[in-house]
Amino acid sequence: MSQQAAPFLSGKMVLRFETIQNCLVPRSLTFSEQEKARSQRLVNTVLQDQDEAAKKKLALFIMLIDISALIFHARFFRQLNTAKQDSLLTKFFDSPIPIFRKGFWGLNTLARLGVYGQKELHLEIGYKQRSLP
Amino acid sequence: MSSLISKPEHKLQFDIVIIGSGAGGSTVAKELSDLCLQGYKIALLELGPQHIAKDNNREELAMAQRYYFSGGGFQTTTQDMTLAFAKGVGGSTNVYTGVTFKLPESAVKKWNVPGITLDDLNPRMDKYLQENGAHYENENNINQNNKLFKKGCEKLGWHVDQFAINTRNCAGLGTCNLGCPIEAKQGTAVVQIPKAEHNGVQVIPNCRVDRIDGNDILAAISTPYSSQHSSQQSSVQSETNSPKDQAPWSYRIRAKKIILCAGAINTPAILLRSFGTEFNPFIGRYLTCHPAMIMAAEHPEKVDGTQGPPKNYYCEQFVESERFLLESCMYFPFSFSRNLVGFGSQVDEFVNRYPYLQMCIALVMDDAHSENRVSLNKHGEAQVHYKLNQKIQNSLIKATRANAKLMFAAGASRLHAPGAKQFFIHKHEVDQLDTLIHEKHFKLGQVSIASAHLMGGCKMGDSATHSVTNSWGKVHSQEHLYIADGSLFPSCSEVNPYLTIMALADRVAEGVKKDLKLKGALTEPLTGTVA
Repeated sequence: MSQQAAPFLSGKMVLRFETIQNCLVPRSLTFSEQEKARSQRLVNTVLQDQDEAAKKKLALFIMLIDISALIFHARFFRQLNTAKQDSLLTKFFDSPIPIFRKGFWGLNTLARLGVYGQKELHLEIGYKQRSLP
Repeated sequence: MSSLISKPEHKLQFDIVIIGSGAGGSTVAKELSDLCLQGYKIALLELGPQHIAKDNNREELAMAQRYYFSGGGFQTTTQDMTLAFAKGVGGSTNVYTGVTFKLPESAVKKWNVPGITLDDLNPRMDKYLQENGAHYENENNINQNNKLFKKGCEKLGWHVDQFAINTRNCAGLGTCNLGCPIEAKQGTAVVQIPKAEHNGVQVIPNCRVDRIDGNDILAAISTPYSSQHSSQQSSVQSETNSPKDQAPWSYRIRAKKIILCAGAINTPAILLRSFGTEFNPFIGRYLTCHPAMIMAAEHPEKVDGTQGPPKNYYCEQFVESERFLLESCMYFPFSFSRNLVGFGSQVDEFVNRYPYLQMCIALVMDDAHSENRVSLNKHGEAQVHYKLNQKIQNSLIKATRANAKLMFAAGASRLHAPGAKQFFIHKHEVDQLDTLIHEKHFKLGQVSIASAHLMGGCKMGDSATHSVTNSWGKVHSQEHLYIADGSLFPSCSEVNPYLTIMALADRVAEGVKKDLKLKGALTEPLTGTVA
């Protein structure tokens, strides 16, 4: 019997992703446990339809952020202060190398998905739908 | 050649099979459906499910997953543009905003296809304008987001026009891009498909076509997306009548005439799986897509763009000179947030102002280039290669400046422009737009570029040395095979394309009927459907 693959955000990847998400979308810093769980579920749901190669690239990119933190600051990303985290992520966001910018865009999109994809938060930001007739 | 399905186990037979039920396929199905009254068997195959309007909960992510390929996040191979195209009975007409444009003369001239003239297409477009209930929305129903677009254009002296939109009894729910839960939008699932079914066309959802092998279509019918909808699935005459029972089975579906209408991505993909790359070098090539960018501006008063029809106005001021079209638009929270360039608290701050935001979109009229194409990946699935060349980037930058001017003219206090030096541009900086929004700040992979107008890939023309089909959509050297969708466009339509697709599909249906008459086949329908 084939074993079902673990969701992308599981184990240590959860903490790594959430640390980056907190920096990209600071609203997530105030998330309750329930909101965190929803965020994870949204990200995992979208990623479960992606092929393995795409998920590997994403995992690699997240690892690259940690490696860069070690190279530039001799600390893991999660151990850096906010200013240093911002500065490091800006290197990817604004990189002259397109593949880094695209990797950042993908990660940033997932971080936002976990936050602004939550329909429970839509009222908070003032998104209101007209009721059905 | 790649194959997506195993050896076909079951056989079906029809006179005519139409593959894809969007603007093209549904139009062909409706136009040919009178043949059913003469005993002809016609099937309309659809990759996605039959959507049930009352099950539409208008939730952004859930509906995106339900209606769109890859949840609306299909990316080009270079990962710098996202393509939105839909699946399910009705195709992308389920999720458009109903914006209805007639093909402009300038596009017809660029197409330069003998037989394709406005004299030929106009009566067809007029027919569908009427059939789809296209009309100009009453000004009382137009929301502030759209009014601000008009105000900005008028203040700048730019010509602004109102879209015709194809709705009936619209309640202004504002969630058109997530499907319409009250079937007010007159997409093909509401208008053309019911007429086709009424006349006898069999609609077969959840049917994935792998390839065409002569007069046979190799396909698989998968499990309906929800068992609770199984009563809504059209049955298929076969060894069993339960679609659920047929779920894991693959089929060989024979037809006298096959009409491919799977759209600009999937029609070339099916042809490539069927014939390979040697058959016709133009298959998949010359894809165009109106690359687009959205931007948003904050106003002191509430804008509330979510209430009422999302899109009402457009500005053609720069179509000839700079090759871009400006339109009003509205995006849902996540879709909007992913278009913001940058990260951190400024993003949260801007999204928190959602009810105060005006939104606009700029679409670039891209040229058709051979290297922009659909090919197959190692799994035999479609992948899209598209180069956002410098000309397109320049148009996007100029369009961003134009939208910024428009929004400030409409009264915005600050805005966010992709490809700008800084996250926010404030009103007092309006004189610096040319330097703040500049090519040195525009980086592919950093800005969000998207497309929902997929065109080309099987362009029509007068010979196999220049095109995939003739002007009647018949594939060169294939007497039984036709195409009737947006892939026929030799270059972009310069406007939202669905009405043009319907007009071309209407023409293809006319051609199919003529061909059947010529061969005397109209008097010889098949008897029975099971081979």
